[in-house]
Amino acid sequence: MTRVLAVAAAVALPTVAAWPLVSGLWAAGRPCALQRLGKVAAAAMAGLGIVSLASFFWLLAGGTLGRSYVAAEVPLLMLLWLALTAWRRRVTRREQSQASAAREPVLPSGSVVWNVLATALVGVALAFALWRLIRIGADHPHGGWDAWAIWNHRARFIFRAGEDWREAFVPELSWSHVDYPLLLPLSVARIWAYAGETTLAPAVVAALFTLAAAATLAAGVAASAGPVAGATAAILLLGTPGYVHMGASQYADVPLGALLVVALVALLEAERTGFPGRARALVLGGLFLGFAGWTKNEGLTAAAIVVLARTLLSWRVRGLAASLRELVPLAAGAALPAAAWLAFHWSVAPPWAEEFIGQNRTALAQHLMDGDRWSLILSGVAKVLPGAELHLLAVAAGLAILLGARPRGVLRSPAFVSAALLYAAVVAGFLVTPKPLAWHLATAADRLAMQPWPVLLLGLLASAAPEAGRAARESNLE
Amino acid sequence: MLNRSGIASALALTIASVLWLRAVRDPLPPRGPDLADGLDPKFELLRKALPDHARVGVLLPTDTISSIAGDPAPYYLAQYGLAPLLVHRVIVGDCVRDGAKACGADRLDFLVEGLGGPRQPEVAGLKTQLRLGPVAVTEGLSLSRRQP
Repeated sequence: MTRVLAVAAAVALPTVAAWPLVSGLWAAGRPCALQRLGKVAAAAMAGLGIVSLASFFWLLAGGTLGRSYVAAEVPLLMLLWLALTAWRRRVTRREQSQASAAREPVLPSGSVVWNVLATALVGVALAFALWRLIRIGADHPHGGWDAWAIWNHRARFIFRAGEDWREAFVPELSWSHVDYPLLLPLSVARIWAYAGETTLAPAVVAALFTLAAAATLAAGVAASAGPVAGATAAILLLGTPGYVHMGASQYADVPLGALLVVALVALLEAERTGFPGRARALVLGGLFLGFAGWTKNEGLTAAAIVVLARTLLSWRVRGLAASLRELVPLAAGAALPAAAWLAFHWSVAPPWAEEFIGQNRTALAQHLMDGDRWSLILSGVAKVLPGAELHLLAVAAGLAILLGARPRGVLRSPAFVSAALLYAAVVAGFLVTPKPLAWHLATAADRLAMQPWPVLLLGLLASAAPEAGRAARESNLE
Repeated sequence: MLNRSGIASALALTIASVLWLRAVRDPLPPRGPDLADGLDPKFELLRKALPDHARVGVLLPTDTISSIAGDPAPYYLAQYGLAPLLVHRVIVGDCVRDGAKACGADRLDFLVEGLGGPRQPEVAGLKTQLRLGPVAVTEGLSLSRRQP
């Protein structure tokens, strides 16, 4: 019981400390229950990301992840909470004065009945997903192959080795992808610093990201298109065959998808015309994109794709100079995770993705010109698209149209364009892989195809605009 | 409530819920421990018998890392279970053919056997050659130490 409480404290403390950072999301209007739930989920993810950075810099400074770390982290989190709360109050005052002049839009909240029904359905889906996570986690406490061969393996090494933690990255362990960044292993290892080594820690981290992705997706869609669209998106995600199982297997692909979706939610928030605090939302988006890169190497590519998609779409609407200016707050948000990533590769781990980058150019060109390879990859990825057996992509698109989405709106959504480019990147990754293609497709395609799925649902359903919501928004913008 | 947008909302939630119900009826993965869940507690017992910075190897039938056809799971699990000790792969056939020095076994103080099924006569010969004596035994796994 003490151990369970210690794990709970290790997760709750950073969540509380990060709360002021995300509490400004959807500050205009009255956030619905789904949005409030989404804020808690975003705070939990931000909190874990922040302490993974803190623990990494602690290790770099010569510390170990034991009692001394806990003794240093707790006051640090309290100070962070105080500083962020003071900053949040100051920003709120400034935004309120600007908002009164700018006439902030009322967000679509829908009728009370729909709001309650949508929230209840999401609650049931989340509760059932939690039950499955507990059940699978209890049966398979070490997670799936990648969990024990990579993520939890690294966490064990770092935690058990004490001051020799750098031995987790020696060349003899290269089969364990020692170039992969550390958000997940350090999230687990620092919980062990609180609670002692227990398989409960990786299971809790995995469950948190699996559920938080759905909660932030629901909130982000609800903010743009109302609670019914938000609930629809979350239910489709939690009902995607394999999604909860993949989360319970403690793979990094579900946390990466979760961080990408909350980044896009923040970027969509920044899109709202007349909304004050645009820079703050962009900083938050940058922070989560940075965390995505700090989770998995593919996260770096994904972050670059999201920034590119958003900048191109913003350029079209606001012009080149304004869209480039907006890169500054994005970069500011990503600065700390990027610094950790650079320090990691500079002083701890080998260069990243060496097997991809160091390939023979002739072989690469042959891969790119090989029609059979293209065909194998496209059919292989199409087969493992999330929910392919239930035609979930077509269903999600159909439901978005039913709820008022217009194709033009979807195609202009940074989330949709990012998701489309992310799937293109999955295909490109298989085109250039130096590994045997059939084996690589069989072992990785389903996981990689799950990463952009929450972002794709966001892109489709956040573009929906129920009549009531649209009318409310239009009347406020007149 | 049931104007055009209300009907659309009802339809959307119903369709999503029906699909969710269909998906959640998927069978859960089979109960009972898989390889990692089964082996890790055994390695935990062996790890307690090993000193810090011990030079430890695991006896394997083939080079499971260099060949994609080989099953690397036993070696990976040994490394996962015994972390932070670095676990070296000792390919039994190589040792028998080329000697303990050539296969690296002579640089190790401890050896784990019982993984991946090396042939027992070869293992017995190697243990004699390296003067290995038992230190700890768990169900299916044993840890031996080189005698001075």
